[in-house]
Amino acid sequence: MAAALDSAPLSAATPVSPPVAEYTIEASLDGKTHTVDGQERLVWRNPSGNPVSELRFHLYLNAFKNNHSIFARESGGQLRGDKAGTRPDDWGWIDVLSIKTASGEDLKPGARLIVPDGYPFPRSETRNPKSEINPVEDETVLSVPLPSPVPPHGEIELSIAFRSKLPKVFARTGYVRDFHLVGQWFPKIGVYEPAGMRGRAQGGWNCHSFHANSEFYADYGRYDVTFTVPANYVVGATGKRVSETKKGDRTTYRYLAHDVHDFAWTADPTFLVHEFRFNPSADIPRGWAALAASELSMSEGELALKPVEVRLLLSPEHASARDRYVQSTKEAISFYGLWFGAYPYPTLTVVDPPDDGPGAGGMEYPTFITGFSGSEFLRWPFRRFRVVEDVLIHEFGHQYWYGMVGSNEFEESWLDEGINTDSEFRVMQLAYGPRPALFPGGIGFDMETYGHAGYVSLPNLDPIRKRAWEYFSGNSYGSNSYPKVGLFLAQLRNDLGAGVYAQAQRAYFQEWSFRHPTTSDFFDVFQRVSGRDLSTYRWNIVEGTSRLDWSVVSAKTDKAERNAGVFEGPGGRETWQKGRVVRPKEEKEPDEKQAYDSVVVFGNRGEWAHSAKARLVFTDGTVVDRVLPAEARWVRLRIRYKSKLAWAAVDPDRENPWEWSRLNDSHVLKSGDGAADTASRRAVAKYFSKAAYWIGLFLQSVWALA
Amino acid sequence: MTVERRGSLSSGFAAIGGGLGIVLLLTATTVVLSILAAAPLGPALGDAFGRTLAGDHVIRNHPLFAPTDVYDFLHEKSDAVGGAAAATRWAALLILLQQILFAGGIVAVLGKAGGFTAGEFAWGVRRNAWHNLKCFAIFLLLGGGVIGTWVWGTHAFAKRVFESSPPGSRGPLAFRITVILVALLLYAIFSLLHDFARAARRFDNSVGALRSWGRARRALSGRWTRALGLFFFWLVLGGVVLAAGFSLEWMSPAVSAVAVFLQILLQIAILAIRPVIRVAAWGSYLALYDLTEAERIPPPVEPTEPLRAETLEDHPLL
Repeated sequence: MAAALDSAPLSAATPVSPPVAEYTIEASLDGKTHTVDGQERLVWRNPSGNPVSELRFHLYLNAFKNNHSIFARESGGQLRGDKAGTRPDDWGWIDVLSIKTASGEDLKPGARLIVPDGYPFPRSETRNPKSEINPVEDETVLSVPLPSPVPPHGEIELSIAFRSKLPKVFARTGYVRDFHLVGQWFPKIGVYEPAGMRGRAQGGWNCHSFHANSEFYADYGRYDVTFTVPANYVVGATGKRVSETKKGDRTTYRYLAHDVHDFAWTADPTFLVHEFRFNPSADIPRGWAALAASELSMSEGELALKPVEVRLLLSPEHASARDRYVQSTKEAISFYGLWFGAYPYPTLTVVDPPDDGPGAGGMEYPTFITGFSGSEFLRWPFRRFRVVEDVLIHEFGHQYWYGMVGSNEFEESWLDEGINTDSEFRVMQLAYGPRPALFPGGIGFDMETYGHAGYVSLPNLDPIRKRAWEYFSGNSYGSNSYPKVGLFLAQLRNDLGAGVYAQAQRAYFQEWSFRHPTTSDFFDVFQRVSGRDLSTYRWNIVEGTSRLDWSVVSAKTDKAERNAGVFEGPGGRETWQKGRVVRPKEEKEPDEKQAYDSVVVFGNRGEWAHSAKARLVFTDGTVVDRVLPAEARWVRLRIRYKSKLAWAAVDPDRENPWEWSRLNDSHVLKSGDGAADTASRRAVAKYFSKAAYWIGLFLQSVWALA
Repeated sequence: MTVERRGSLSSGFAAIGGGLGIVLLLTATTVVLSILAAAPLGPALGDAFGRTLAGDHVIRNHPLFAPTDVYDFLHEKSDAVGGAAAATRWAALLILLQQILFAGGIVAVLGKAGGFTAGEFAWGVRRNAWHNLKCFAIFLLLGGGVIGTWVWGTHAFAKRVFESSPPGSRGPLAFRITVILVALLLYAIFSLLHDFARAARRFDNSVGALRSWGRARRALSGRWTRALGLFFFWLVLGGVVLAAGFSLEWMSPAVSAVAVFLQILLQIAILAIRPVIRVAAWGSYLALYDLTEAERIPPPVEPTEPLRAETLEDHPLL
């Protein structure tokens, strides 16, 4: 099996060998009824030092069985623009037909459906009171008691027969017309966490119900999957294809995949196939290797990447997106490989779902990802919005964050979605400039704006780290799992420096690939590599809801008070009036030079104590920078200078991405020369007239009625 | 009423010059209402952009800072944005009313030989106000009903027939285009009937709304091709000019004070395009209507001098 894969040894941490789970599955797809009949042979190895007397399986497809499932309740039957159950044929489920041990012992009679996370919804009459197993509202987790426990580090072999009915495309799986994305389709064993793993005091199963706001968590294993489909179907799957056998009007494909934690496949007769090879010597964008080497303090030779065979399956209506997919795939393989470690698998399959199956888009499975290229995003004016590239890069990034670094997406989604958002931001900026998402006329946004908008647009009620189904809303889950983390990591990068940050992130990837890290593990690695105490980031940002909101509280500049009164001068007592010595007229003294006193108060209105740079700019263009200490709630700066203060700002270079509001970061008093030349006043006139102009155009469109 | 006799298209172009006052009035009304609707944004912009660096970032289109500043403005000043949106809805109602009323003045004076006075325009507005409101109600009921039924019906049909069609297939696309084109044609038909019904007051100050729709139908009977040709000519011409102006404004960066001033002038000029086209279209329609009206009512017979018996006074004796 290993020889057939011809994969080089993995460069990151070595996977557990032999793996915890080994699957051998034979399946057959009925393209008309959208059902998959399967026979699964599972070898499961107990990774712990205690006997295990029960196995737990995910039956993810049952989330789409009816509107009582936890997934349906939490999502309201809608996700990513898809609506579940609009027609009778839309529902999906998985039936476990039999479970037997290698010796033929039938385990099904003792099996029962369980709801490990509880069912926080009003219970209603169960739809399947005569269910073969037991009646519960949510059927996504199956518990199988064993006749005799699996001994410590021992193994058990099971034979499972199942039938899966795919739902109409919904949440990362399903069918539409002849397109099939076959994901979460087989009984998949949960993760048994030994004592000590992920902070556990005692060994136990980590096998959550399928929630609307969560993805997955599984052990690494080997997959040997054979599936049969109508002969006219074009297919793609996790791993590497090792055989293809046509028999009558059906074709059987066999795929092998090592050191992965899931297996998905796709079949559609209309796919356009484009195969290409990622060739490191030709496909790494210019300058990227040197930049990575510089940040990581490594030589370019140490960052060598490997070729990857890429199979792109395009829906026909997106044929024009082909080159964009190819380019962004090469950029993604380059960036993640250079900065974190070479992509270790020999293959990658990229699936472009059809327009009428958007729920199948933007999903990651090991060595198998789905992009998103709705036809509208391929045309003007959305073409340069770069959704195709952004989604592709993000999904490829999951080969690293969750794919190889197997954090628990149910419990700590920020460790995969968030870290990957940060990586995605960097690729997009490196590949497409500071503002990757553009409308005509240069209007568009940078990635930090996306992060900032996601951060400030919601009530700041949840911390980043939380179990996926416990955020106060789906949007809060989204904000805390994706953009807020992108922003937090941008802050961390700015504070640590790009080099230290890159080295820490690489170390985290290398040490935790093919393992299951937690938030603590992330901070442990970063603290060790950076040599800094990062607890303030953890407890304020990741585990708390502290904001940073430095602002200019007030700023004023006045003529400095001129000398007046009686002073003891070098030549004796002098009387001053209005800045000059009172003398007889014939002995006129020159005026005291006019100076200005500028007073600026800066304040941190947020809860997080973090330093910031303050900048004062005078009308003659002089720039004065000061550092506002982290522990200060407010700081008053007084400066006497020959010119008036033009403007004052805190964090003028935006080195604190965690800043809550940007509108209170500065105060403009007047325009001046050089750095003091500001056009703020003109902006008011310009944008007021622009708003009125747009309103005028709208009003005139109403004329069409009359 | 004495009107100038021209071709309907050339009458449209001539109406722009002859009805310059109306163009200015329509433009000024739009500009004033737009400024009033945008007024809630004034203090918010002054606060957020005028007294901070955000304004500088945005006007100079800073690649990294401007988008965040714009987002924060929309987010933190959402009350002002909401206020402007609410004011815009009221302004839309007012401008709709204004269009309905001004049409009365337009049909009274446009194309009139020797020009017109503001008083004559105002008289037309006042005289036809109630009539035009009723005509609008008929237009809304008839046009809205027919076009709405067409769009809803075809949507339901397409949903049933094309549900399993693969995306990008030509059938549904052709069907969608057909639906849009037919809807546009229906809109053109009802819009022409509406304008012609209002034009009925040009020669008959006492005609009622329902009768004027009937008269409009009769006036357009046999002239639909020409009328629709005029409608689409002005639609396309106006669309092209407006798109060009819109693109020019959209692409102009305008950072310096002079550039900002010029951009404001350009915006006003763009807001004048629609009034120009509307007055021109009215000019064309009224010329066409006048033609039909001239055919319907035979020209008055020139009075002939009665024969007189010759007297000796006519031929004085030598």
